[in-house]
Amino acid sequence: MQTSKTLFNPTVFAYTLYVKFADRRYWLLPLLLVIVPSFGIVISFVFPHAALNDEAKKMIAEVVHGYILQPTVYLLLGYIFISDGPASGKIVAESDTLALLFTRPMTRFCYVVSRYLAAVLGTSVFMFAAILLAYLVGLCYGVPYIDIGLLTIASIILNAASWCSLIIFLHSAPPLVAFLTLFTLIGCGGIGSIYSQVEQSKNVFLELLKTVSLFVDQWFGDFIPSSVDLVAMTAASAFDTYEFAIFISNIAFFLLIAAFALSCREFSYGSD
Amino acid sequence: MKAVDNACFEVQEGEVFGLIGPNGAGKTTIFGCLLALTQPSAGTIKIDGMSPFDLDVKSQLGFLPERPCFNRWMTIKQFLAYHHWISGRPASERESEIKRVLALVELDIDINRRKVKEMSRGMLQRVGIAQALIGHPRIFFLDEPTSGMDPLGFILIRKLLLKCKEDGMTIVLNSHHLNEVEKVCDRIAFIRKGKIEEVANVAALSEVRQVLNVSWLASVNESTSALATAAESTGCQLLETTGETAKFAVSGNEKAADIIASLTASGLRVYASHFERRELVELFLNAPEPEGGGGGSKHANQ
Repeated sequence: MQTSKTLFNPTVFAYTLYVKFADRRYWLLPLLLVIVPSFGIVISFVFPHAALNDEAKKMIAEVVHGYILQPTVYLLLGYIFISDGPASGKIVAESDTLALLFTRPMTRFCYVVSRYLAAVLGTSVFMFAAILLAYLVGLCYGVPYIDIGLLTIASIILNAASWCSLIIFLHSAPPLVAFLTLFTLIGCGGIGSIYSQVEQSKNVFLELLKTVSLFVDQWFGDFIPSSVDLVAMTAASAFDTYEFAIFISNIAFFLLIAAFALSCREFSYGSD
Repeated sequence: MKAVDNACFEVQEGEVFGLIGPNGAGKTTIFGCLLALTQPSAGTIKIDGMSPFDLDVKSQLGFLPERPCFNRWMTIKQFLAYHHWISGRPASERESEIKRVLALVELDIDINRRKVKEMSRGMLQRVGIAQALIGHPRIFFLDEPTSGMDPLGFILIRKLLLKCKEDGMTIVLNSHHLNEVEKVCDRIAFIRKGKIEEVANVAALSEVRQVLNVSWLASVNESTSALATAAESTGCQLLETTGETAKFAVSGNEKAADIIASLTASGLRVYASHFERRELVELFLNAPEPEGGGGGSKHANQ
């Protein structure tokens, strides 16, 4: 639908990444997400529910490390960057702004890529800030086990890339398609995890549920975005190449369908 | 259902072209196709010989949407800078260009502090026009430019459009305010139910379809049949009569002279006559409805 000249637009990148943060109120939610792990450490030391020996401190470090795998945090940060809704004081921003934007000399694919890269960078910076702050707070409380090494940073970037690809798709697709996709993914994610919980049973309903769950997991499970922990993957005896390939292909898949959905989308900016 | 069917027109460089029609006529759909926001299901659109989807075309466009749904969170300066930057204009010109367009729309506010969401409807319209004019576009699309504006705003828009016209800009205008269209447009297209009924030259239109108001001294010999006969013999149309005055639809000065001569010859002592200006709105309202027609909102044919 559009001719393509560049893959990246610095204007969209800059405005997605930092211009909306000129309003200081906009910093509130990202900053809250940054202090969550550190706050957890402080709470566990101020109100300890058991003796905080070395084992307990390692467990605290693990919990903090688990923060970089939390989809909710990435989805929230990604949403803040990609959608103009929160900045506009609305849940969802008007698509009319896109209609005006696409009368400018920029391809829709370029818009998707620029917005996505800005969101990945922004989300990664906030997530890294959260882990770094937790590391410093941990040091203050004598917890030196929080990992802020290269593998952790790489995990943060990859997870940001994964969840932001879903957000950019939801942002680019027509609202009804986005809504249905989101709930299908949530549904498949939920149903697909049931089969492992259901014991062998003679109950017909449970068996049927298990069969459906297994089917959904086998056919759709790989399409559901996920988080990776490179620290754990590299620590394992064999690096799970298949899982990593699925992870990367999911990012590419969501980015491509985001660009496709936006390219096919028709914009009506007014009523006759 | 077709929103627009067989919409065929050409706009010359430097021309001001108006699209007029009632609600739901398909004006905005045509704009959507021209701006590459909607893909027509059939036909072709060429702007400067290129597809409207071509980025070279887009870099020459300025567009004012009907509803000013702009990025609400931005300050006016951020918003204008955004559109200047995204148009691919040099950063060194940004400040001066923002000042220039704000002066053009006579917007004197603190652009560093005031946000889009804090602006009134009329002010937003001015911001929208400033946005559209940024970077000296060659082709200017305006959808209902006077929407939400006060009388001063109307005058400003007219002045601005005439200035743009003077600068050689090609303007495509979509408006309900027919009087405004008439004052700035060179040609207009009447659209109804998705069909272009007529593309007319505004100057010729007002020349062709004039109303001649004739007054005469009262006398015992006058009769309505004499007026009708005079109208028929000269090829004019008797619109109405009030006893000592009558209105005739005439097509030009020659016909006006003929009807006055005919009335005088029939014994009426004509003492005054003048052309009554027929507004575009009247011409539009009096135009006969087309056979069939579309409506709806799905596809656009060009």
